[in-house]
Amino acid sequence: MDKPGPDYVRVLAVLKRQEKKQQWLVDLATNLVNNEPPRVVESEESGLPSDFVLDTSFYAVPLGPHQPDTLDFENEKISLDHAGLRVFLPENSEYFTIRGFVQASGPASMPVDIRGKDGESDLKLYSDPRTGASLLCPNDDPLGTIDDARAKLRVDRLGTYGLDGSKVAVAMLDSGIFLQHLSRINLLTGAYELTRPKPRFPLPKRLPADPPMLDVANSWTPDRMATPPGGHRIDHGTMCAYNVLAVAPKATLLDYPHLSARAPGDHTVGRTVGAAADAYSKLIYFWIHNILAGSAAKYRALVVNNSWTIFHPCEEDFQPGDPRRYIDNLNHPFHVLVWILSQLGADIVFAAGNGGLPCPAPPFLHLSAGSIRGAAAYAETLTVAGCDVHDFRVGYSSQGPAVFMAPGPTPDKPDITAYTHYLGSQVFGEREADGGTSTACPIAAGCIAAIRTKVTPVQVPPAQLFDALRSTGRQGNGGGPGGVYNNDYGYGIIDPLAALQQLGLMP
Amino acid sequence: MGGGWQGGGWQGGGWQGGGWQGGGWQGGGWQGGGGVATFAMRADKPFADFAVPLNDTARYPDFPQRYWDPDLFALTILPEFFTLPKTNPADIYPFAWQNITLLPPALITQNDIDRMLILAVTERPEALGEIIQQDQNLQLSWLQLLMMDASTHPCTFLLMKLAARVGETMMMVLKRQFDRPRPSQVSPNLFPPVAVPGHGSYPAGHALIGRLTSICLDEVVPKRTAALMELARRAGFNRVIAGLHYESDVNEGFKAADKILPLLNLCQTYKTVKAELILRNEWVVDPVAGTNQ
Repeated sequence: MDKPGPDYVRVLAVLKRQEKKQQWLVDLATNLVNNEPPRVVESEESGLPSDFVLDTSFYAVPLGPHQPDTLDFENEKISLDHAGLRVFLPENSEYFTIRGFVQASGPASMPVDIRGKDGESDLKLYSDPRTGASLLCPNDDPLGTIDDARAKLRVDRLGTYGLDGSKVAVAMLDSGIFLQHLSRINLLTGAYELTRPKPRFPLPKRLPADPPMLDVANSWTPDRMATPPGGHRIDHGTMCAYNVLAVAPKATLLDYPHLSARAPGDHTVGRTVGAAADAYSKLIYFWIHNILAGSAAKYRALVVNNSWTIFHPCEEDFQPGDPRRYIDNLNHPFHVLVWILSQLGADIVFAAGNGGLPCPAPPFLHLSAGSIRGAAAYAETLTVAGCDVHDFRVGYSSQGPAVFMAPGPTPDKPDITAYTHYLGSQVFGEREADGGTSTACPIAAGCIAAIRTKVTPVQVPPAQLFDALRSTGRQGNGGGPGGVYNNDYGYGIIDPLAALQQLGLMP
Repeated sequence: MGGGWQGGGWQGGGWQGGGWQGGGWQGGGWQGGGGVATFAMRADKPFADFAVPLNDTARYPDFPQRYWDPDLFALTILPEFFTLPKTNPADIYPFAWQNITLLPPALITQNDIDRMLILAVTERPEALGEIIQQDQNLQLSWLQLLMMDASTHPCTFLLMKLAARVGETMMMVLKRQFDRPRPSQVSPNLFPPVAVPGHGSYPAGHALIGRLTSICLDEVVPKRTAALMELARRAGFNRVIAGLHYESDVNEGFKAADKILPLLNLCQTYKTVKAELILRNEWVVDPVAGTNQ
């Protein structure tokens, strides 16, 4: 929808559904998971306070029974039985996140909440800052190739043990995937390009009739985006997908191009945390149904790759300490969504960011302190720093400590380090590196997908798996000992085989 | 040749030089060539030397409307616009245009600049083509969007010119009240990819004229609302990406345009052109296909 006027500020808002009323919330949430455009909601029907203009191009995101600022993230547990899961489905959810506009001269003059006339439509407001892909790294030439990274990770041995990502879904929350670039299928002829492989370092050899797998039905396309899953503009998302498959070639990709979402009421740079909330909502819905399918479930595990970040605190609409903030506020509704998905057993991996010293990427504006922020600083996520194929940290990889999270605690971040800045997908050109912690993140996601081939989240929940990865991290070149935290490498360089051994799943 | 309303546009290009096909952005501007149009004639056998009967059809009582240069014609709306009496008795000032006011711009913060620096790094390379194209030839994008020009839709074309002339004059009037510094004065490393215009930053002219063009056209062109509004937003925000404007300049430009249109609709020249546009069925909706022609 059009922004109501230039002097309106975009916000996320959380409201409670009143006793089976407000069917429009359920409808919008259902539209989202069914890949339908959001249905029209008139202001009379919504019953929202007149001070809040609903963004009808957005959806409604169910939060289940949880109000963000009263949820005890550390101690609250989600029951994975039928009844426990169903409270997160649109029709049963008690709280919803919506997006809208509030008239204000600026964020500072906005209310913390808006009260409805009847007290039944009170809204708590939160920030919806702009997001960006965490690539944009310094322009150094690539060092080594994907084959070097694979060798370091002992991907061949993973393959020998059948740890190839089979029946594991990897959701790529990114700019979108262009599948032909990964499959070597000629876009025009449909022929498999055996004789002219591009990129120079193709994915692990597979049969021509066995192309990289993309689950279109369980992918998501933001409203108003023209290209279909797997057919998006070749860009950052394709690079990330390549690197997941470089480690776990039989993982199934889910395409969630939230970084390409454009809110029509906004300007050309419309990607925000709100679009990521839409994507997580769809993922939660998908994963609940996968769990409910029991033994007939299509996937045994879900890994969620997030190679995106908030470049700089200037993208945050609110002043430090404000309860509506995103980047350092555990009570933001996006944290509830990450927490729910993690509780449901998904392994959520985030890029640390490219704001590290001595050479932070330009959009970080040289603010290296606390450059791990937002969801990358949540306890539920595995946050990935980057190193080159010689185990030296790349000079832009964001360093700990993360931004101080309110109300706390702030976990040690980054958690782990993975390989980056080598010649791999060649998405950006024949001689261009797959760089940034954007690349390290899917390498770690690929390692987890490989591990999950044999280990379900019921057997080893995400937190336990992350603990194993942290405690078996290898020492980096010039870093501290593996398994012990330091600001540069976290707990060291990821070693999937060592983690499996520690979990007692491999001799 | 520039055309339009920035810099070289109205001092040499545009309507003082080769503006022989609608001025600036129709003739030399984007169909190649440029400069002053001249036509050769050999001296030994001048054309006037031949006995040619008078063209009876040339005996008009007046200069045909279709020969009017739209740019120059559009200037004639200015006296009308700027003498419109106030429309709301409660308004302070006697003339309607004087009551189009903006609040003083907020102080420029480090946050404003930081957001622009990020855009300069992340968005500008991709947006550069649009930024350059829209810098001097703003309304061209609207012609492209609607697949029209002065010959296919002369009244719509003239309507756009009327809006542009009023919009650019109001823009300058408003800008003079505030003299807000350009972002690149505050932060030189924003380094815009096109020349920094010779007037203040607030409100943004591209946003004002883009939005005014879109809302004017939306009144006469059916079924293009979303595209028109999106184009105005895009052109406005491209100036932020370019490091030429703060977001607040763009927002206020949009708001000013919304205040200008009702007054434009009160001007007799504007009403006449609009009525002629409808009379000529320039945007007929095809009753079968439902598309405009």
